[in-house]
Amino acid sequence: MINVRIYVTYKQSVFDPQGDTITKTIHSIGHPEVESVKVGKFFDLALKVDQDQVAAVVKEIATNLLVNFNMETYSYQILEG
Amino acid sequence: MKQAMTPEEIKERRPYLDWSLTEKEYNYIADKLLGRLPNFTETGLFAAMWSEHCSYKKSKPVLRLFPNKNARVLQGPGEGAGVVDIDDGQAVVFKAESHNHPTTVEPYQGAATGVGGILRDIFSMGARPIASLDSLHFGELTDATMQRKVANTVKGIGDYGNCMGIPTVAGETTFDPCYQGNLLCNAMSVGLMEQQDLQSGVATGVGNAVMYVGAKTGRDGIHGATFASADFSDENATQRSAVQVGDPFMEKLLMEACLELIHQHADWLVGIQDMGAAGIVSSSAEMAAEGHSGMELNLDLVPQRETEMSAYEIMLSESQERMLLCVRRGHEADVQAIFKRYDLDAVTIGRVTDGHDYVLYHDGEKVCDIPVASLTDDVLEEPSAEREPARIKAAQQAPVWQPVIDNPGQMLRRLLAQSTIASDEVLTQQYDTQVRTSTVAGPGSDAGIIRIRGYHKGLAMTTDGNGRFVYLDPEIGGQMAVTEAFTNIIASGAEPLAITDCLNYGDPNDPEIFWELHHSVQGMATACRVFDTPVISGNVSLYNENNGQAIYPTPMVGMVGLIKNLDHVIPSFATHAGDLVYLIGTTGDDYAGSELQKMLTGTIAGQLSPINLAKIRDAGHRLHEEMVNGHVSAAHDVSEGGLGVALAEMLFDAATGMNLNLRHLTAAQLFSETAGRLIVTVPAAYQAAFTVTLGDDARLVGQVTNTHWLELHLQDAELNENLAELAQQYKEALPCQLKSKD
Amino acid sequence: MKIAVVVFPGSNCDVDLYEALHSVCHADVEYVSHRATSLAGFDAVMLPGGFSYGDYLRSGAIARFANVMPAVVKMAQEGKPVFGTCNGFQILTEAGLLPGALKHNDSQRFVCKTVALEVVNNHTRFTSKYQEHERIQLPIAHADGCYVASEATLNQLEEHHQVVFRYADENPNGSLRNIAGITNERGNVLGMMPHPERAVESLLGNTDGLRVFQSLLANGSVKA
Repeated sequence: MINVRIYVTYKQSVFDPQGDTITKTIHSIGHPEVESVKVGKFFDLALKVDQDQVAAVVKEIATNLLVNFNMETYSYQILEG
Repeated sequence: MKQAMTPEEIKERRPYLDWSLTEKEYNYIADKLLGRLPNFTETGLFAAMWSEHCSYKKSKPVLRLFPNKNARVLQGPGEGAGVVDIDDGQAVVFKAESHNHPTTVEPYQGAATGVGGILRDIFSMGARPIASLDSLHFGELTDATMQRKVANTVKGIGDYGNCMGIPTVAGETTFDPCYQGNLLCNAMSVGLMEQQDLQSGVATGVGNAVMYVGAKTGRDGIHGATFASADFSDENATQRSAVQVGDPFMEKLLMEACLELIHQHADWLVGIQDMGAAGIVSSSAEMAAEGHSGMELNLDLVPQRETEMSAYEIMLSESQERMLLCVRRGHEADVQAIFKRYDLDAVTIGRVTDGHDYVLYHDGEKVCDIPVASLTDDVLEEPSAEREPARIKAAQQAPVWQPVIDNPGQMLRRLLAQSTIASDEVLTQQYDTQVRTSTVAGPGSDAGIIRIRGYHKGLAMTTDGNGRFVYLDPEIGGQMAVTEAFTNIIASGAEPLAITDCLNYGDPNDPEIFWELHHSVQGMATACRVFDTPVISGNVSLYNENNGQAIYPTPMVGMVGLIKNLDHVIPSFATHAGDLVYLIGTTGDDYAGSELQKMLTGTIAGQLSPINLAKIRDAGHRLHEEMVNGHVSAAHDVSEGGLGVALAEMLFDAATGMNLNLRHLTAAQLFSETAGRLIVTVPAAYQAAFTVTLGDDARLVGQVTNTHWLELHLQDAELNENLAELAQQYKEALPCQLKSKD
Repeated sequence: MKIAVVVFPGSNCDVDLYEALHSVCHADVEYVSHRATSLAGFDAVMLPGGFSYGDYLRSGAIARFANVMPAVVKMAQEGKPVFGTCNGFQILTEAGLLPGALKHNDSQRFVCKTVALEVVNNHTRFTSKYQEHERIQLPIAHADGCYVASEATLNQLEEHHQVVFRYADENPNGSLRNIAGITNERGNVLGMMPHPERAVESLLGNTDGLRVFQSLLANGSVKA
């Protein structure tokens, strides 16, 4: 079993209204040093595949379901244990 | 110099072709309008402003066929939305807009920003949005992708409208394979205003400020306008620019701030317009053109969310939740103070100038200097070729399809489970239908009804459109779309006022598609004249194709009616046992394009019968008279699935049933979709009065009963069905079809 | 009795609450901005439904930092009536004036419909005009309405009769123990997901919510 965490975020050029509102609130509670907040989501997948298949499987799942490349992008990491 | 190419390089390398500007148009601009080669920024502005989405260059000659005036119309097409007098110094403002391409690509954000855009059109007129409607056309629910698209589209509409606090009270959802690769998402918004608050998208008065308010500008949806004007194909999928993300919270603040400014400080404001398709360029150029003014903007002052944006990107960005204002010189700080209270940016980015030039500065350089009118008024209008598709002739010669039905009860059960007919409660329950506590009738009724606080009056509203009929016969199909809206409004107890529309078609460069557009608009226009419901606003969505396969021509009609006295609201449900049941309008053998035909043959074919619009109108008016007299207890229009389905729908939410003598109809005719028919119930005490008024237009067929059964005695069959079981079919079909089967 | 209806950025049932009190109940009611720092002169405060701050992060999570909230907390501490419906309920839990939290509906969808409720406790100043165990119908309209709390908290709520409304037939959002509305232990703070302000006029088809406001107006001067 290989545990993979896929992160999905908006592309740089896409407005993140939630992140923007949270940034303003962080400022209002006394943390003006926070430049910006970006909100994303992650998916933990337990995969029954070989190590060398991970990249392809993740790419296919991300492309077909988890990510809309018109506005989102993704990255992933293999979790220890 | 940040221009990506020199004017000479543009001429040579023709990047404008990718932006849907033709070589002929480019040459016309260079030779006739400017007398020089346009630079990169200017070329981009022309491409966007001359796109069909902004200029209506293809559809304009056809749109001129629509009537758009009557005694009540205060503002017809050309502004953010149309405006109609509803007495007492008040007006209703409404418009529909398509967001088909964005919704096809990214259903959630596409649908959400579609709602956002149409709401801005309404409040930019000075009206408070009071209700939303949506007309959705999806592919068949046979695969998981379409199921997800439906779920996400509905969630997008709901999340935006719910957050804004505007009830979604009516609409329609249909399913057909022709929308598989290009779904339709048309949103309509209705607003209420005092006539004295009416605003206009205009910039006048040399020295007055051009102010930018709302969200910051990013690189979202650049060339969305041209994107909406080019068809889809799968290989394009990865090259498209990012779609826009909606922020309903920002829009709510923007709406409240704009309405406060308009209602309390109208004297500070010259004009106001939404930044919709083609962002800053379209709003500013249109406002200047409307005022016959010149305009100068400094793009360095535009609030930006990203760095290193070019002039071209700033001007064409379709970032959401932004408005452009023209403010009287000296009141800039006052306006800023209002927006500041809502935590919104309000920045002076330019001035109205003498003369007629549209001038832009960026990074200290002049990046654009062209006549305002060259962007808005000088668009090259070319006559489009048109040709009647072969299928139309073929249909006239083909044998008529005549269904044979032995078991009408079983057929009714099957029809009630068709995705287009079945209850869409599973979808509409995701919309807040009651916020603002003014919803008298919501989804499930013939029309949504909103009361107007402080008066005893209300507004009825509906959207209707059926691409199948328009495909078979654009002219009659166009008439049918308006007729269905008319009967829905009449059924609710209202007087029809006017319509808005979304014209959804394929590629107009195809002569057969242009022919469809032309003839269906002609049909709609004829019906609008007969019903005296002018077209006061609307939009055109062309290039609805996927891999060269066009959708059915699908004009959507949004109609609004006035209920002068809320005591005369008519429910769609027959709840009083003993009431008499009347059919209004005659039923023919109209199976071409029907749900029955689609279900039994898998396709649609045949010829539509001509409609007697004047007869439908006169019967409608007489029926309305009887409604006002208090003689009608319920009314429902007959549409998809015919009488059988309409009768069942009238009884599902009641404890009652009906026992009807329909010996004049065959079992098949129970499912015929002849246009312009209604079912009404009348308390027995008013039988005489009702009969005198309606005369031959109404046929008495039986009574409402106190058992929950539908009993129909037809010419060649009997139907005897338990309504609770029918209701179960009707309500469970769509939730079941929306569930992934794998 | 003078009632404040707080308007947060993104509130959208503020008008509905105001009109229910003003047009229907003829009560003395005023809008109060989220920027206000005092609620002096008011005898009760109401937090409306809507999407304060877009409901970004979590429903009600940002609104609790609004300027007006210390004054709301003060009123609660003074034993004055504090009422929150829908987003108002979410804000009251985020602010710690009511126990528990409102989670995303178990259907994962926004739901707007009319549901059956049982009035579990009619000995509150908000429900005295209902019968005990009376069944009423009220509209709901929310995405985050699933009430959750620890087992101990739930037991305590029941023990102290703090559960005021329960979903009677179907549970539309997965709330634990079918909880639709609760008070604090003292009984002067009520939070509920259903919208009584949407059910106060027969024109709109339902008047089952009217007695929430009538109860409050009748009991306004009663000390908790």
